[in-house]
Amino acid sequence: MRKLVPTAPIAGNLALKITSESFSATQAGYENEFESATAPSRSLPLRLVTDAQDRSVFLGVISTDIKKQPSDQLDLNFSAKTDLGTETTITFEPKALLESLGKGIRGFEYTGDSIVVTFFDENLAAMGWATGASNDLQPEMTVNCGVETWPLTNSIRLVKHSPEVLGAKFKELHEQFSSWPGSYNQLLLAGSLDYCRSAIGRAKKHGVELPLEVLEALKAFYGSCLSLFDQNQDSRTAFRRLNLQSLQDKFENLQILFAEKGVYPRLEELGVEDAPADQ
Amino acid sequence: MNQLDGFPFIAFDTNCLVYYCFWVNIPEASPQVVVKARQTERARLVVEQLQSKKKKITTFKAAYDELQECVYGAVETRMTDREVEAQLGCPMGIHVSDKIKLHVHQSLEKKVRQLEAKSWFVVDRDFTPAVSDLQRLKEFFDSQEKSALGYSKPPSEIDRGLINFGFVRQFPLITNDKGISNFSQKLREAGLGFKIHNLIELHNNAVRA
Repeated sequence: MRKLVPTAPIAGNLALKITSESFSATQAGYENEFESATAPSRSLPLRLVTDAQDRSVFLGVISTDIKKQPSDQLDLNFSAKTDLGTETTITFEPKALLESLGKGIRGFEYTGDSIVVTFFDENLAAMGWATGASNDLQPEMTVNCGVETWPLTNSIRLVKHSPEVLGAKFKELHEQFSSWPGSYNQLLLAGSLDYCRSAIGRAKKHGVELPLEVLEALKAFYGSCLSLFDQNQDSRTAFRRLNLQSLQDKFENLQILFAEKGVYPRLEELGVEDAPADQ
Repeated sequence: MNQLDGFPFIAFDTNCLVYYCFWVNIPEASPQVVVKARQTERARLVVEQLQSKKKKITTFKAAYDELQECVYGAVETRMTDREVEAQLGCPMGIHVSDKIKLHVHQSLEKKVRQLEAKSWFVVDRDFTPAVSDLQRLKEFFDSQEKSALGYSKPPSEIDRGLINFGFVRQFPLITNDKGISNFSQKLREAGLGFKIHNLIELHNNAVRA
């Protein structure tokens, strides 16, 4: 039985081994676009893990309205377009899914309130699921695919290189941490995320394209902050006592990079014009 | 400040140390604005007077280790003060951004930690309050009328540790917390505390002198 287990500590896409030649660290940072005939199209984040054979596995989220019906009566009709190095377009309907094995889809399961679709393309496997409540991935969930069960642990979220998407992600996570109980650790997260968001916003305002190195650093930092969010959501009060020196060091390095690239001043160099909170 | 004569060491509440250091430039190198705590000027005057009399300021390790939390509390209180919001150009209803608050916190914490290098500041790493003393102090404060605390919360374990530190070492303690300084006489009578002075009262006495 093939087990899906990360082979290396996942602390951002930079820590992963991508063995497929059609991929690079740059290409790994993108979002799938899922279009639904019944719902507006949207871009959804992917997660990337490596399996026991060191293959890159993308975990994508399919968003749709889940109705609690037997699988052959699911009201789903959507297409998935993925850009995996080679152009791959997959269109499927519920009943057609089981007939689509020849088109690269390997499995489909409807568990009552979630749907799992597995499809492969050369060396890559992708799975998607959603619950009726939200689009959030649930790392502890066990995914059933055909005869195999793949426990999902230690996954990361990748975001697209697009600064607009990144900016929105930072804004969202900043708002999340802003609602946590106050402490230095909470301020470190809220302040650093606010800083990153402002840096992205300033670049956009002045029509400056952020260098790839800066985007990669932002993505990595976001990944670190998101991991902390995920790990401590249920213990927000205890979060104040964690040692976050590692994150503080990362933030320091981020500021140095921003200053060197002329993207944004270091925190201590920000002026009064940066004082009012963004609305 | 004659009441402190004859004592070479003066214990300081960590918050008073934070107020002494709360002088943050925005931006750091070429300041457009300087953010201070309301108590900063008073704390500085008192410390300068003590320095002029060759006294050393001290605290014990556990209290000093709470520094980051004290800094956070002071920063959060000050940076949400409408006076500072206006000083930093925030329109009514708009708060200071988290990134600026973070800068203020980090700058202030760094300054307080740099005190350790000063010859007039000593962290007593050998003192640990006895559990029984802390318990007796807790029982003392639990037995007091809540109204006597005023707006202050009941003293925390660290606060009680500071009271005990001053008592065991026979150092006067300076605090801005009236929930402690109001009980100076009673604590002495109960054999639980030594001289305890309020920062603002000490400052006012020094100014009048």
